[in-house]
Amino acid sequence: MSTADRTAYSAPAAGLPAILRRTSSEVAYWLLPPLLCFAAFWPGLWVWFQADDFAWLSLPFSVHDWHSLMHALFAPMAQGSIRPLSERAFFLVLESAFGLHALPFRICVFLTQCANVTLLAAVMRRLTGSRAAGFWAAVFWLVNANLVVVMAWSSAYNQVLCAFFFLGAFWFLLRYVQTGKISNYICQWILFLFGFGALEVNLVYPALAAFYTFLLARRHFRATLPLFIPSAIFALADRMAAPAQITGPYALHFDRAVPATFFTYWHWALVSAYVPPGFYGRLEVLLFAVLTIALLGFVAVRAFRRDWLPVFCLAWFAIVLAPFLPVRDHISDYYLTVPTLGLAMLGAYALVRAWRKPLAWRALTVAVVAAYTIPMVRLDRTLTPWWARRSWAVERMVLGVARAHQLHPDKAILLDGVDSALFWGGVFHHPFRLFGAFDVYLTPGSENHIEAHDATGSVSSYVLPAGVALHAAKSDHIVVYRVGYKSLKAITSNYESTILARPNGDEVPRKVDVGNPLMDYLLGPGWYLAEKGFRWMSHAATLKIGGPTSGAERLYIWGSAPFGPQAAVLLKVTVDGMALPETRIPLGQDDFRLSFPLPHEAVGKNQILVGLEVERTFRFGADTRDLGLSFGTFEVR
Amino acid sequence: MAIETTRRQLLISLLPLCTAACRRAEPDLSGYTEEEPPHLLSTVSTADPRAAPQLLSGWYQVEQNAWRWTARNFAAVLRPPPASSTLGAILELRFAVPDVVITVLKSVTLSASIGVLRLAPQTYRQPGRQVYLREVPPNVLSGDSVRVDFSLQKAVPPSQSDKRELGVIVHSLSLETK
Repeated sequence: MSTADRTAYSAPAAGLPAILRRTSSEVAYWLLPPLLCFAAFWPGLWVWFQADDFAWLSLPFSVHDWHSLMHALFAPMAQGSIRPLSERAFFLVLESAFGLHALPFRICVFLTQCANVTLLAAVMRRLTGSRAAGFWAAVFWLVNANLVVVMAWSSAYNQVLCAFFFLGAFWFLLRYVQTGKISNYICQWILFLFGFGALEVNLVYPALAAFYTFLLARRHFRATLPLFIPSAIFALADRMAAPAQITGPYALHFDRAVPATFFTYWHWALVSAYVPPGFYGRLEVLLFAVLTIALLGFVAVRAFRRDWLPVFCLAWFAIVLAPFLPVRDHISDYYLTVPTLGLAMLGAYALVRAWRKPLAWRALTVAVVAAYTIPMVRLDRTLTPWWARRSWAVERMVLGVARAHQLHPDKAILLDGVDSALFWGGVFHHPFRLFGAFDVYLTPGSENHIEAHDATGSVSSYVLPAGVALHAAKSDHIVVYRVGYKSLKAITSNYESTILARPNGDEVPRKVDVGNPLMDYLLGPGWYLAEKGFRWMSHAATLKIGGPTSGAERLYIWGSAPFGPQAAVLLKVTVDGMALPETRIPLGQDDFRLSFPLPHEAVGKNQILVGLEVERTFRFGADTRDLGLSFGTFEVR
Repeated sequence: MAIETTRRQLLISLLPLCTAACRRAEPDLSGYTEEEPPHLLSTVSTADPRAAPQLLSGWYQVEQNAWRWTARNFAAVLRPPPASSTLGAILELRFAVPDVVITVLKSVTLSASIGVLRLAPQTYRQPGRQVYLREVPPNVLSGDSVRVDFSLQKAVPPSQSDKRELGVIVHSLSLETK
């Protein structure tokens, strides 16, 4: 063991027999990083579900047989991703076994992360021959505040599991390089292939393995080349199953934004992404500059001396980050989980090298390590409880709505007092459907208290229009709850009195969801009963909707024609009796979207009457109704 | 082939088995809401067990989990909906006149009263679903509850096959603020 090792990691208990001292030292060596994991992210162990978790938790509802199970496990979902192990199986199995108890999910995340820090220490120990380097690599990675999200949000398990497969495969590659045993090479392959079930970024592992062997074990370089074959096949299959998005936050942009995105990630990796205002003060730039100079300087100096390990560590960061760089409109801190493994290894190697220098160098190193570690730990201990508190607020709201639905199964539920955190962490992801509560809305005006994220979604589509709320209150079809600190408080009577006393509360909404039974009063004759978000019309039907405020506004219609004769059907639309351009709708397609200019005479009217007429109706199967078309929403905007 | 099928079936059964074996009992959610004191309903579905206390007289058992036969006279108590004491309300009775009633009685005339206020009668000569709608002035809706008495001019008298006096089949009744 080197002097550095002894100093950085020592203090065996005096007086114990040597073997016991060695054993206790070894046990402490392997136990300390996992314990640090629990200590840094303790509240993350107790978080409930939030945000995307609810989409995955609803997966079991779609599993009825072998075919649907395969679909749930392997069909592209959520931006076309296919992650059967880290998302589909993770949620399917644990929810099937434990229901909506979050702790088993969290234990799984923490245990995987404990395995990760253990593997990281083992990898670094093998790379450098230094126990201290292994230990500090684990510490530097663990404390990085970009890991808060993955340690506090079950949907980010894909990052933790991906890190496991990366580290596991690489560890077996190192063993193969050092021992030449083919079993290690096979184990590397197995873990690498399983990695495709965790996260798409796994496909860059061959580049990592090839680069390592090229720099540090050239004799084995050729053995890494076959690894590119599964990556190529996966990339091809992934593109075929889920074509790249051209628009939206996940669209790929191979342009000048790539270096800027890289710089942002580099900055976040060293000083964290979401720093509370005033956290660093003016020192943030200085800290970033010092850490950048220290790391890049170390890489340059060692490369000049033909020590290529720092170059490899830096390349780890760049190679693993590369797939995220074209996604310029969705830069996320948790994408740094696997790339920062490289920087943690680089930092740890720099530390143990510096420790061999004179005292002044050591003092400087301690200062730099403290400047990185102390703020990161503080951030961990600030941000993780925030995630936990938000999840608990979501839990109270979701289970409160579940209870309200138990008590009032025939009524729509209105939530009052929902803030931004609750909306984007809960309501937006339809968590109430897990309990069969589909008719849950926010009270009119709630959108004024919720931060808008237009790229993610619209708040207003979750808000019940004031006129509809008024009618629902009059007909006793709603119950209203205020989101409180401890529970949901029923305020139906007070709310109804307030809304009924409000002048001009009866305005006709400019967006009519014909599939919502609360909007029945806006529908004229010709409609059948609502069916979970849509409603069929017969030969002709009418509805009332708020009029346009300017001549530029149009009427937007969303509907579907999922079955019926293949020939197109002619749809005639009128507004207050004035005909709009006729449209042919092909039947047998999932949905259609139409937009029409509105007549000038309609501008400024409180309400207009929209008439719909199809040239012919049809019957389907045992259904005896004469069906025209089915519609979802009508909107004037 | 058979072994393959059996293996598949075994795999498929794993998930529900796991669910059945391991899923804990549904959590007790009673502490997650703070409810208002119980009050009468403004809208009553006659099959809803919570509404049964509001059906005062002239009602028979729930049938097909959806409706109840009435006698010639029947009564219910409803909560005046919010602001109805200033705006008035609409009384709505959703019911069906069965073929057998029209066959025997030829027509059915329904009327209602709230205290001393008599609401206009309506005569139904066709079988099928019907709605009885009447405006109710605000002055009779000032209390916490209002009793509504319905009356049919004629009813099907008890017979060998059915010993009940049969009026109409009611699905729901409600008061809604105007």
